[in-house]
Formats: sequence, structure tokens, C-alpha cells
Amino acid sequence: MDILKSENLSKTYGSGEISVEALKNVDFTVKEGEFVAVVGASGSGKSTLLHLLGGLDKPTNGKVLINDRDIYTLKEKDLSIFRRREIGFIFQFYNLVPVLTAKENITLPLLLDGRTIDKDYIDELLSTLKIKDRKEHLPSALSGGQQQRVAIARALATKPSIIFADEPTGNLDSKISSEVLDLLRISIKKYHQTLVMITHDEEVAKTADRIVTLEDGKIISNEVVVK
Amino acid sequence: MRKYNGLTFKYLNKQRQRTALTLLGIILSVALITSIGIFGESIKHGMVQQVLDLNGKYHGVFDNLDDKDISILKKHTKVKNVGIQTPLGGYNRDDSSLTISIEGWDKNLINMIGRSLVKGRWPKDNNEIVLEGWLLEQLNIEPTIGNKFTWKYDRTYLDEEGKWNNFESEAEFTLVGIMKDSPGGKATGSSLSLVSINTVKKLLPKSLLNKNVFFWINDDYKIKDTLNELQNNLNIDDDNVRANYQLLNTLGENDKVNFPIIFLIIIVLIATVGAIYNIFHISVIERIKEFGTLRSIGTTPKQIKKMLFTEGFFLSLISIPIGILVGFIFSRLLISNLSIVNNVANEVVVSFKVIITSSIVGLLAVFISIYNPARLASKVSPIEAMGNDSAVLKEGTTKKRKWHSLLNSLFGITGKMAYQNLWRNKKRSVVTIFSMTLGCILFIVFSFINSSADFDNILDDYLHGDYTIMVNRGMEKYSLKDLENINNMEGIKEVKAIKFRGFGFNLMFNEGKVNSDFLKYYKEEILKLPHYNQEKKNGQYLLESDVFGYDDKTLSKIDKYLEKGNIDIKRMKEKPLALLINSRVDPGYRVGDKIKFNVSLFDNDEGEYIGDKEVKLEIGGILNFYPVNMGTYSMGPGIVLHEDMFKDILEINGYSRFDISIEPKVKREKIENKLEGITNKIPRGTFIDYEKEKKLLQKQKRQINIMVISLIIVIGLIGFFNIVNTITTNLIIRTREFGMLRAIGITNKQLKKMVRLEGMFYGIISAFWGSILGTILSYILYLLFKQEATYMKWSTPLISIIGVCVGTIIVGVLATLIPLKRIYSMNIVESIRNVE
Ligand SMILES: Nc1ncnc2c1ncn2[C@@H]1O[C@H](COP(=O)(O)OP(=O)(O)OP(=O)(O)O)[C@@H](O)[C@H]1O
Ligand SMILES: [Mg+2]
Repeated sequence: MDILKSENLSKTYGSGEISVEALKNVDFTVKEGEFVAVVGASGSGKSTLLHLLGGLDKPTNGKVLINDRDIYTLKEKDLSIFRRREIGFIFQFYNLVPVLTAKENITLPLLLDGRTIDKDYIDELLSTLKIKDRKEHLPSALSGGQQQRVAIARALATKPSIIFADEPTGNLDSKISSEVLDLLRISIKKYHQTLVMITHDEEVAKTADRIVTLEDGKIISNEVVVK
Repeated sequence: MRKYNGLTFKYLNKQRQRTALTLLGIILSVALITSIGIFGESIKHGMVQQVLDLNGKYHGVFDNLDDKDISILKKHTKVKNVGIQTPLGGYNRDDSSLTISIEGWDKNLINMIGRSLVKGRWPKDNNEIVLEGWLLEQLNIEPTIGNKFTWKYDRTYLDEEGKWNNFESEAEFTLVGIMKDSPGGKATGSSLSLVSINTVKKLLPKSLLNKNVFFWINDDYKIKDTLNELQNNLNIDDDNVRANYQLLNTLGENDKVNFPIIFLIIIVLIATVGAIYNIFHISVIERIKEFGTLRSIGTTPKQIKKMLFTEGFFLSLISIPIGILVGFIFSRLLISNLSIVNNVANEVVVSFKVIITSSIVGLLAVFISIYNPARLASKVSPIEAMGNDSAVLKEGTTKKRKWHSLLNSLFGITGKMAYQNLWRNKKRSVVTIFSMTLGCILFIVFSFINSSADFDNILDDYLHGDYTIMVNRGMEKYSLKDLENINNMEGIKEVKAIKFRGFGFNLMFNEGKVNSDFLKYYKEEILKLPHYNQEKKNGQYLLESDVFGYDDKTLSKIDKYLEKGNIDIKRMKEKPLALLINSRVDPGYRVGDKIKFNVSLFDNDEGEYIGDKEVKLEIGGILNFYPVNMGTYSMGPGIVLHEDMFKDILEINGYSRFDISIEPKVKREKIENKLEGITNKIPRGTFIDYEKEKKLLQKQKRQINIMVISLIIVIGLIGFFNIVNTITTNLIIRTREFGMLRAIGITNKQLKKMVRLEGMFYGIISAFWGSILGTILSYILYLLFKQEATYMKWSTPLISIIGVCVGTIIVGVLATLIPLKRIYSMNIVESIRNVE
């Protein structure tokens, strides 16, 4: 079953002579539970695609369907609520709220949603991500890797159906990054989640179910990884 | 060197919005100082003008100068103008109800004092004379030029042996002109008649001739100092020197330091410097990262400091002149709009002093404000600054405070975040809260000053209603019937009736019972007066005193003048219990003392002398002010009795004064006609209409109101501007964070709530401190002002506190409107990318 689908998705930045066509008529499908890696040269439109799929930006043209629902027809408020329930984002820069502790950062989407916190689940996340002993610390007191793990935990906290990750390990050393990736993989298996991840690392890409390659805003290859 | 100066301009240009905010802040602050300065100068100028109009244009008078000294004065480089007065004497009539002095003035003095003619010309020689219009009417002299009349005149003088003597003579005068009435002349029954100096020379024996010299000191010199210098040079006794104190005081040439005003100016200065400091502080904090980058590529701390100071200098260069201009326009607008309703400051005075002071204060404020941030910026370590967020908390963990969990449960996670965000940068928040708090303090203090100047109370002290009917000389009195007639007139709200006797009521005292100052005054000043009854009565000294009979209404309203004792109206009605007024003469009596008076009795109808009696009065209370005065004073203290007791003791049925208040919006003219009719039953009766005075006071009150309100508005504007500045920067710095929050699904509503709460917290904290400090300061101010303004009352300024709370919260919330709009309109992706 297709959980995520883009039709004719285009994005043009600016207008006139300085306009940049970052995405050109991209048709793209992701099945439920799939792990898709997006690769491509710098500036090829990967982040743009991810943002559009996650409803963070408005496409110039085309649609994004999540569970057959056109997300860009939703009202701003509904889209926000949809995002915090169904989608988890992990950015290259960790983007934590500096005034909240690690634990508060992680539970923030739940708190914003007014949901009760599943303590066991959060504890489990904290221990799998090995940040349990840092949970009362503010982001400024955490290392880069720790901060990224907090960001991952935050993305997973709501048990979203789709996780979008933009080079989540770009700032981490290889040992930590493979650990983080393992965790992500374990999580999506366990909760039957879908993962779309941008990466520059071919080794990482190879661990995905499918690799989509972008060039100049177009998908130039879409290959299932044979394991 | 040139290169990093270039960098300064690039920053200013790049961060246009911030630069604009900074400029605006300095402009507003400088405008505030400038307009206060211009306001002060203009009002002072207006007041000086008023004093000059009223008293004449002279700084002082030297009495009894000889011609040699006069010519020295005339030629003196420090003296601009000299006018000469030679008194002839008083017009001696059998009826003593009027005091008419005849004096010889030269043209200069006429111009300096500012007397003007209604008709005719100024007197030359040959006994030509100029009189005031109202006097002609009173004396029944035809107001035709060329009219001749013979006047007796007399003059008292100290002879060579130190004894008082009287010179009497008479002369025929020719009326050559009619002068404009001097203000208050009719009410007090005193008038000035002018002749030429030569006429005086002709009519007085040489030994009696004396010349008093009025002088105006050149504007370039210090008045007080020059006055003393002239006195020393010419060797003039202190007794012969009369400075124009009212003018000197208005000019600020007195030695008294006006603490309350200085206090207010200091508060305003702190507010201004605070605002500018805030602006620079924020702008530096905002750029910490940039400074870090500069430091990492090898910029020295000194260079960074220099950069910032250059920046401040150029910003001042642009904004200070604009600020002065804005201040000028603002005060001009205010003053010229006010001049329709008032005449205190009818001219905008811009002195060089004000411009220089505002510039220096502005510049100083900028440099003081830069000093700390510049040190901060130059100290930034590259690593610290390159961190992922410039606004990070220093502590690693948050302290679990009860306060936080309370906020959490009250406002949810957004509330907690809002509160925590407040302290992300402690210094910035403290500076912002400080400036808002100052705004609150100023608001409370100014509205206290405004409200405490209780208008009705001041009016009460100086005006006693809408009209006064008064007869202060002679034996005739208004009757009970007159009082009833007035009371029965339509539109009359209240009539206060006063009984009075200014003669034939003599305090009897022994040397031992009074204080030494009083005894000295009595022996040296009073006993030496010519014609003074030096006779002792039963071995006791006598001193003529004023005695008043107040009605219940008046007695019940004079508590505020009570220094000691109490006003027991009931007992005063039945017992010889008196209040003693010690403001002019203080014999040193205390409450409970029994003092004796020798009272002369006269027939109520014919006014014939009947005989003397002695009465003993007990002092029930001591007053420090004449609640009602009759325009004339005796040599002794004032005594207040209940009207019933007054009648018993002095055996006087009638009244000497009615103070009449009318209902609002009645036809004044009709009432005035009737009242004047009653007044004129006694030829010497005076009718006084306070409409003009009342209007003037009301105008002044309105003007003060407008001034205070506009001051509060400007200060409020600076405070508002400060908080907008802070909150905007606070939010802009966090653009990326907001993008992320939206990415993880915060709704606009939640975002709004969080940001608004943040603004509100600023408001609440500032209101809290502002209310406490403002209340304390207003109390201190009350203590400072109390002596000079006895009408001031202090109570907790609850209304201002509520106003401050509501105001700051609204301001705090309003300040988030613009930045919020920006956040909404910003694309999430853009905000996340926004790694400035
Ligand atoms: N806000 C913007 N305005 C104009 N052009 C933009 C904007 N954002 C991205 N672009 C352009 O769109 C193209 C795609 O950018 P995008 O960020 O998607 O690339 P990317 O594949 O993620 O690159 P990288 O691997 O470096 O992150 C680039 O040419 C970029 O310059
Ligand atoms: Mg990218």
C-alpha cells in the first residue's frame, strides 16, 4: 500500500531571471514500512523534495498525498496538527529548543498536542538512544551527537507513521552515526514506520530498501536495493 | 584601519531594521530631553515676563542715593537702565480709607515699571500730576485734563535726633494725564499719583528730598553678584537695598536648590540613558556571533571596541540633530496649541543651552551605553560565539523550581517556554524590564504629582469663591439683612460671612510672657513709629491686632492651617476661646495660654466711641496662615473668634466680608448686578469678581495636565519602543527555532500564545517592580514637596498601579504583534535555513 505519493511535484524558487527550478515534475511513491534513501549531488533538490513531502513548504505545482490525502488542501492549523501526529522530522542541524531539557524537547510534540505521555515508551526511547542520564540537561550541555539523538527521539516520540530525515548523521562521527542509524532502523521495524532519508553516504544508502537519485530536480534513478 | 571602519558602515547598512530602531530610540530620547528643556525655558520665560509686567523691569532698588552715586550707576558698564523715584508724600485726607502716595518719577522709571496713560500726557514741571482712573472716580474729581485741585500732603521722617517727625504742606496740582489702574489698587485702597521730579524738588524742603534708584543689570552679568558688587562699590547700607526678589526667584537667581525638580530631571535622564543603553546592548548581543567570527580571524578586542564606538558616533551624528528638531517641533506644537488656553508660556524659547545640553546628554548616553556592550563584544571568545545559538543558557540544567511547575500547570508547556525564554538572555531582559519599570515609575510619580495638586484646595487658599464683597476700613459694616438678601438670591451656592475689626483691639502683654524676637520687634520697630500709642495700659504694653469672627462653615474648613491645638467650634461659640494666627507676627504664645486684650467699643449705628473694656481669651489653636484676610494687616497677630463670640466681645452686629460661591451655569451678570448693588450701600465697599483669576488658575491646571500627560506619553513611547525592540530581536533571533517548532507541529495559535505570554510576562514583572518603586518614590517626593505645597496629600496610588499593570501588559502583548506577523508570514523551510 502506498503511504506517500507525489504527483507532478514542482518547486521553483524566485521568479524571472533568477528563478531556480529546484524540483521538476517529480512523481514519487513510498510504500508503508519502506525505507527509502534519497541521494544526489549537492543542490540537486533533495532537501526541497523532503520539505515538500513533509508539508513544510508549498509546492509550485503538483500534489503530495499521504494516506491518499492531499496535504496541501489542509488548513494551516490542521496541517500543523497532522504534522505533529503523523510525521517526524530529523534535521541535519539538531534544532532543539534551548530553554527546554532533553526530555522536555523529546516530549514537546506530545505536550503541544495535549496528549498524555507514554512514560514507558519515552524511557525506552531514552535508553535505546543512550541519553537517559542526560535527560535533565539543556541542549547547550549536550554534545552534537547527543543533541542529534535527542532530535531523533523527538521525531519518534509521537510514533509517527512517516519519518523524514535530512542527513541526520551528517554531523556525527562514523561510530555514532552507525549507532544512530541502527536505532532508526530498529524503531521503524518495531513500530512499522516509514522512513525517507537523505544521505550522502553510499554505505548508508545501501542499507535502505530503495535508493532514489536526484539530479537537477529530477529523479534519474529509482532502484530497489538487492540485499 | 580604514577597512574595519568600512565594516561599521556595512553593518549599519546590512542591519537596516536594527539601525532604524537604534536611530529611532536615540531620536526619541533626545527629543524628550530637548522638549523638557524647551518647555522649562519657555515657561520660565513666560513667568519672568509676567513678573516683569506685574512688578516692572528692574533687578533692584538702592534707596537714598546722592547725585554722585546716581551718575556712577548711570555710567556703570554693568548697569543697563536706571530709573529715579523721589517720593513727595501722602495725600492727607480726613478720611483714612485710601492710601494715596505722590511720587516724582523720571521717564526711565515710568518705562521700567511699565505704567501707561489712558489719556493726556506725563507730568512736566509746574505741579502737573497724573492720577489713576479709579482714584478720580473715588475722589469725585472730573476726569478732564487741565483740572486743578489743591491737595494737602504729608511726609513722616526721622530727624537728626532719631525722632519721628511729620512734614505737612499743601499745593495746587494740575491734572495732565490719567494712568491705567494698577492691578489690585482698588481692592487694597492704595493708589499712586505721579508728578515730575522737579515738582517734588520744589514742594519739599531740601533735607527731605531723597532719590531711590531702580536699576536693571546688563544681561551679560550675574544679577546677584553684580548687585552685591554695586552695593559694595557705592558703600550702601543693607537697609537701603531692595532686590526684586520675585523676579530673582523666577529667574532662578536664588540660592535655593530645587530638589524636587532636580529629582524629576534625574529620573527622566535615567529613563533616557536606560533606553539608549538597552538599544545598544541588544544590538551588540545580536551580533555576538559576528564578533566571534571577527575575533577568530584575528580582530583585536581594541579594534572591535573602536568599531562599536565609531558606530555609536555616526548614529549620534544622525539622530541627535533629528532628535533636537523633533523635540523642538513637539514642544512648539504643544506650546502654541496651549497658548490658546494659557498665557504662562506664550513664546517658544530655544536657548543654546538647551540644544547643547540635549546633545551632550544624548552623546554621553550613547557612549555610556556602548561602553559595556563594547567591552562585552571585545571579550567574546571565538568558540563561545560560534556555538549553535547565540542566546544559550549558561547553566547546563534547569533548576526545578516550584514556580516553573506552577506556570506549567497554568499555561501549559507554551507558558513555561515563554517564561524560560524571558531569561534566555538575562541581561537583555533585565535591561528591558528596567526600562519598562522606569516607565511605570515615571507614570506613577507624575500622575501622583498631577493628582496631588488638588485644584480645589489651591483655589480655596487664594480665592474664596466666585465673588467677594468687602469693606476693610471705617466703621460701616454690612448687615445681617444684606447677608440674608444674598442668601436668598437665585443661583447662590454658599455665602461665608466674616466679621472683622482691624483697630481698637489691642493685645496687652508683659515683657516676660512673650519671646525675645517679638519683644525686639515691638521695641525697635513699633514703638518708634510716629503717632504710635506708646501709653502702657495697667502696666502692660499694647499692640494693635486684627480680630476676625468666622462662621461655622469657615471654621470647619481651616483645619489645614492648624499648627497646634484644635478647632472646637462648639466651645468657641460659647467660650472666649480664640485661634491665634502667627504667620506674620509671633509673640510665642502656646495653646492654653490666656491672653488679655484691650477692646475699644463703638456705637453700632453712629460709630461713636463708647469706651474701653478688657477681655481675656484662651488660645485654643494656632494657625500658620490667614484663612481669610482683609487686605490690610495690623502690627500685631491675628485673632480668630467664632462669630457669636465676636459679637459678644466687640459688640459689632455687622459683617465686613462676604465670600460668595455661585451654582455652576447661572447667569453671572444678573447676580453681579445685585451684588454690586449691595456692595455700593457702603461707599468704601469693594466688589471683587474672581472669574478671571479662576479661569487663569484653571488654564494653568489644564496646562500642567497637558504637560504631564505629554511627558508620560513620550516616556511611555520610549518604554514601548524599548520593549518592541527587545521582543522583536528576541523573536527574530529565534526564527530558526520557530521554524523547527512549526515543523514539529506547533499551531499558529500555540505559537501566538507562547509569544504573547512572553510579552505579558515582561509587562507583569515590570508592573510589579514599577508599582513598588513608583509608590515609594512618590512618597519620597511627597516628603520633599510637603513643606512647599501644604495642600499635597499622599495615599497609595492604587489607580495608577492598576493603570500601570493594565498598560504594561497591553504594551507587552502589543509589542509582539509585528514580530509575530513576521513569523507567520515566514516560510518554515526559510526559517529553518535562517542560520545567520
Ligand atoms: N529559498 C531558496 N531560494 C532560492 N533558491 C533555493 C532556495 N532553497 C534552495 N534553493 C535552490 O534549490 C536548489 C535545490 O536545493 P536543495 O536545498 O534542495 O538541495 P540539496 O539537494 O538538499 O543540496 P545539499 O545536498 O547541499 O543539501 C539549489 O540549487 C538551491 O540553490
Ligand atoms: Mg540539503
